[in-house]
Amino acid sequence: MLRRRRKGQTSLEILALLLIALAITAVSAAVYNLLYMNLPISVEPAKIRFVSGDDSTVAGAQIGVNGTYVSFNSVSGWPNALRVYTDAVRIKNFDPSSRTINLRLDSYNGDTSAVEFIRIKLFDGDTQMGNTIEAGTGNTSTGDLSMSAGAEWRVQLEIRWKDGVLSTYSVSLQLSLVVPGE
Amino acid sequence: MRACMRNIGALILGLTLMLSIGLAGWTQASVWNSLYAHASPIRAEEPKIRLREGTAGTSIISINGTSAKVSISSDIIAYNPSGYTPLGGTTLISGALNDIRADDSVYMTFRSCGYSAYNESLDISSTTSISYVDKVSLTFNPPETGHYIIIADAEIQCSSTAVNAGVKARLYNGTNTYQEVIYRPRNTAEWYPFNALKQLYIQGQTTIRLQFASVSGSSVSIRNARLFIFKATSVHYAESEGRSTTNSTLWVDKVTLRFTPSSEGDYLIIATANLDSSSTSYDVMCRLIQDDSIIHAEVRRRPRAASNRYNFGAMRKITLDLSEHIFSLQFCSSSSFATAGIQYAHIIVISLRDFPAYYYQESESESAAQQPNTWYDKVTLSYVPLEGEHLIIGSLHHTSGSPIQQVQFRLSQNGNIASDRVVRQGASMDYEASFSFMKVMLNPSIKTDKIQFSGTSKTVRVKMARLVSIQLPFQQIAEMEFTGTSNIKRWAQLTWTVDCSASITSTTVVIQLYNYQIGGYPEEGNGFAKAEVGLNDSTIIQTIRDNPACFRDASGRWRMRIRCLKTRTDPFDFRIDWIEFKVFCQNTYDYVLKITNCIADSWIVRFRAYSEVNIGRLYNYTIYVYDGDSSIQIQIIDGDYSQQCGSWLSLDGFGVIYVVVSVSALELGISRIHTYLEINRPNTSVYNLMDVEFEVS
Repeated sequence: MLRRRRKGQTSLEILALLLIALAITAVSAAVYNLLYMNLPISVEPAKIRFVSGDDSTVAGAQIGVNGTYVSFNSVSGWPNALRVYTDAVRIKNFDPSSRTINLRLDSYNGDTSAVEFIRIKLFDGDTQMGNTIEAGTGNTSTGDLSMSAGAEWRVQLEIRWKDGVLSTYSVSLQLSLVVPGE
Repeated sequence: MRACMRNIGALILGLTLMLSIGLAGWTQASVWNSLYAHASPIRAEEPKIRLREGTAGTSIISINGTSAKVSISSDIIAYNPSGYTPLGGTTLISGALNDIRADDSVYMTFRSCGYSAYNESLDISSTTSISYVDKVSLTFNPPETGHYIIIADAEIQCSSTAVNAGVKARLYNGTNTYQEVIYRPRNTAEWYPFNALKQLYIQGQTTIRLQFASVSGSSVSIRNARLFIFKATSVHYAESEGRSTTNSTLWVDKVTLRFTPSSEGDYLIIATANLDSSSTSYDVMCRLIQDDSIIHAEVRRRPRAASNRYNFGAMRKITLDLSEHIFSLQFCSSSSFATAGIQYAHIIVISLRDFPAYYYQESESESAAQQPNTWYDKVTLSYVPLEGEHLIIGSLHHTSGSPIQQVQFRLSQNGNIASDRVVRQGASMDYEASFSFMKVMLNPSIKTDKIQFSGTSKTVRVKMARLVSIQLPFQQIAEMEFTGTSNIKRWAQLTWTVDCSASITSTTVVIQLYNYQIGGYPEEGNGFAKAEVGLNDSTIIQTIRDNPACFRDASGRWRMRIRCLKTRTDPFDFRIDWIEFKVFCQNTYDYVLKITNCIADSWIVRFRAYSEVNIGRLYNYTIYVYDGDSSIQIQIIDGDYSQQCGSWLSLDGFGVIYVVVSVSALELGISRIHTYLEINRPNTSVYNLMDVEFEVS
């Protein structure tokens, strides 16, 4: 059934469209209006933290006050031999619920050509969790790993310098532990 | 105009939707946290522990002394004999030591000898020689020195009955006579028996001869001559070979055999002697008596001439208990006016337990020839023997009853005549005793042995007829000893191999390695093997892992005795294709590496095998470390790990630990064991792994 349009109806539609266009134009313009938002930001303990492992002292691990940062300054290896820090540092989930973590290699530099490999592995007990991070040549992330509440995983560092390397050689690497969500 | 306005409106609506979606996405952005780990610097440092070359094997150490490859070798050395000695009567027929160094069907061939030997000459041989000539001889080289029994048998004939004519026969070894018959016949048709018995101590090759001769140059003959030498285990023997005489008409002992049997049972007694009398009117008498009561033989002979030497031969199966028994060969004269003589008297008693089987029959009663020139069976022995060589002996007392009559008697098997004697006695009272024998190979079908007799009149009589068939246990043996050299290293295993065959089937080969620890050849277990060998080569192998070094002397020399035996009397050939004495040395490399601590701090270290190649051939592979005490770190036994990881050892400040390897392999090849030397700081879980590869060729 055909419905006839009434006179003046089209004009109202055009008017509405023009008002909307006007509003859009107002947002894009250099001319703006300020709206205010009250945003209190609190400090809360990190849900995932670095904690000391059995070999942290030997590796020269210094863990930040809040457990969100660790620095190793005494990691070394012998040329053509594998050095393994079985328990260099640990990662612990303090959250009452599971959290997802991902350990990533951010940077790796220095005398990297003198290194045969540096590997970082996460272990829950004797079970390796995720992929092996292999500096320079291989995988750079463990991948997303679900860490149950209260779980404590150890970080294993493996270093092998090439044969004939001098003791003046060194490298450095930086890792980030990404924990999605609040 | 209206249409234009409609299009503009649609455009504005589209833009509005796009912006709405973009704003919604902005408001759902993720929240994450980043924690940071920083390691700097990661340094290369001088190794605190270093590997250093050892003094044994070959070690390749990396620049920094943090990895190594150790190469050692296992020794598998095969030796062949460098000398040999045929033992006993065994003789080398062909070949040399070079021929037994490979399994190539090129042989050293040895001819066997036996604990028995036999020869016969059955045809008639004649001579007019008054010097003895051989009828049959037997050269015997026994496997071992000892007492051997000789029996001989023949029939002799003289073509003349003249009183000075005669035939004689003897058993002779080239120096000594052991039995002698001198016979002057009353009739040229006579075939007089000759029996001989002797136990002789034989130390090497010996030739025994059965000879005959003419007394005065007339033609004489001999036939059915047999000579048999054998060894028996349980034998009692007595002899008195010098001539004894007596005028007594009472029995006089010539020789006495006294013994107490070690076991009760059946025995065979055989006795021989040669008798004479000084008078042609009186008789010489002789008997074989047991325990002064049982007469096994008794003869009487009136001589035709005083120089005659008559035959006495008797055999009988007897059963003895465990009490002492006395057997005597006695003689006397029928009259004190005549002198009776006896010489070459022998008595032997042999236990029949030494023989695999025997069959016996006797007929002791007297039988007469009722019809002249008719054959009578005196005793018949029927049996189904076991397959093998048999000695069949028939013994008979016989008389013609008159100097003008003659008795004929023979031993036969299934109609085949072994001996056929014809005798005229000197007087009606005469009775003589003789035996004959044959050696035959029998199969397990019925056999009928007979002693038959015949005579020219009813005066002809026989008695005390006995027949025995004995399966011979006698063996032919090819025996030799090989000697060789080896080494004085530690042996993990010894494997010896003999490849051999024989010219006959089913011989028994016994191979023994001299055990220097026990000071003799073993009779079982290691160093002893027994196998049946036939016409085709058989390979006999023995592997010794339990103290193999006891089969060498302090200089590494070894001895191997091989005996090939067969129950038979004829020699056979034993062929040796290959003899190998292979030793698998347990080589110890002390030391292949040393682990040095370059600082004052202590460490703990151990070896751990993590991969391997071709270790199945390794018999005993052991990696030790030594720091005053030794500790097994890795061990492979029989091709598999018995220990793959060692216990921790403390490596004190500036200390040294030595690495020792001991290896034996059962096959040629190359094996590799990849290990880590694990180096830990005490009380931490920080460790270092050094690659150490052990290669064994």
